Amino acid sequence: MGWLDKLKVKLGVLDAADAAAMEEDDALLAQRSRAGRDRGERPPIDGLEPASQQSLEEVLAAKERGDVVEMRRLLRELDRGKGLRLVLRAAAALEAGDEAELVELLPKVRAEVPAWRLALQLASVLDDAALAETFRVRAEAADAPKWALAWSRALSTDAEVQRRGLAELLVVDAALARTVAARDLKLEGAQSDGDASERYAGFAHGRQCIRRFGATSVAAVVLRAGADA
Amino acid sequence: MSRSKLVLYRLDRPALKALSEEVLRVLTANDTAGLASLLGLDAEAVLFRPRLVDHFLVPERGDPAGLHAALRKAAKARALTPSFASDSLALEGRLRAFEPLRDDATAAAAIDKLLNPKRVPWYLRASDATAGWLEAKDAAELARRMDRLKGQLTPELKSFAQGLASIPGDVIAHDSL
Repeated sequence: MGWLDKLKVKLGVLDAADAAAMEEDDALLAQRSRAGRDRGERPPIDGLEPASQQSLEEVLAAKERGDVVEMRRLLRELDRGKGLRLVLRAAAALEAGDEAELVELLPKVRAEVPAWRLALQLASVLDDAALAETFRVRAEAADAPKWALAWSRALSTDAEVQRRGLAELLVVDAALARTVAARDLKLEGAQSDGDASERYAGFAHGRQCIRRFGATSVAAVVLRAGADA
Repeated sequence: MSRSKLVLYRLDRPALKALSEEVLRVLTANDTAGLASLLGLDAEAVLFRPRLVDHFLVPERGDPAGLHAALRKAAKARALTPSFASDSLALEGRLRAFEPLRDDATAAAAIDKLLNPKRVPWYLRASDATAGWLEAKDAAELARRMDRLKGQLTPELKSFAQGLASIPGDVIAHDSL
């Protein structure tokens, strides 16, 4: 992991598992790019398992084309026991009614750190305003940073909550507020601020994956993990 | 790129804090009359967008009503007292790069704070402007250290050091208010 990603992990913008996962995805893309240029293939090294050839993007693509079996196979292969891949694997197990796998994964989902991060990513993409607020309250109880809480409120479907979130985000982190206005809310005339782009990308990556996977299932897993505690 | 002259202001911290709270309240409540009153403008002037906070989420050049500038003006009127104005365009460059100052780590750190726009409230940051805030103890320490170096300082730095020393309390530096 590079120094920048280490810093992001330290600041809570990115969790270690997701940073490693993003790094893996980048490495995989680079490897494929090189492979396209290579002539001929090297034989596998005896006694070594080949490296994972899948990325989270492939998981989501499988999900979107309705290939549940392939999606779950990929998630089992990618799961390192924490981070977004673990949570999506648990959500996939829930959707498939695979209680045995789900029960095995729930304690790890419950132990996810920082606890506020997943809760706020969910709150940012759930259509159900009341459920989103439930996750925001959880995140606040788990000491979520002000910028993250405000950002989450800024994406609320409730106009009043959204207004409050935008005003608070402007106070706490004006560069991020303008970036959120431009990129998430498509506010006319708003522009991304370079000072906030790293912070934005770190949080938005997970949120986007949850949205594509299906926030309702992920929310159900997190609630179930809490209830089973 | 044009350069501006740096001005030091004595900061009334409680007044700035109260203004920040008031701004947050009117934006959260979408209180058009409240914002207009706070900025000393007619209500019609702040009605370009249905959600008031949106005015401040776009760049200042996309703000036909001039609300960004009006808010800075309000902050200046309520909480900032001009206390020293440099007549030299070279002052900022000297502060950032003059070697004897850079060699003093404490002085250099204080200068970097004073010239860091991220240290002032969002509404005091203007595009391409220099701004920053220094707490009273840091300002006093910087003035002391510059006084010790006065034999080596250039005229604009000597003048700045005297200006800084004359300000009791917190200091805001700004070149676009």
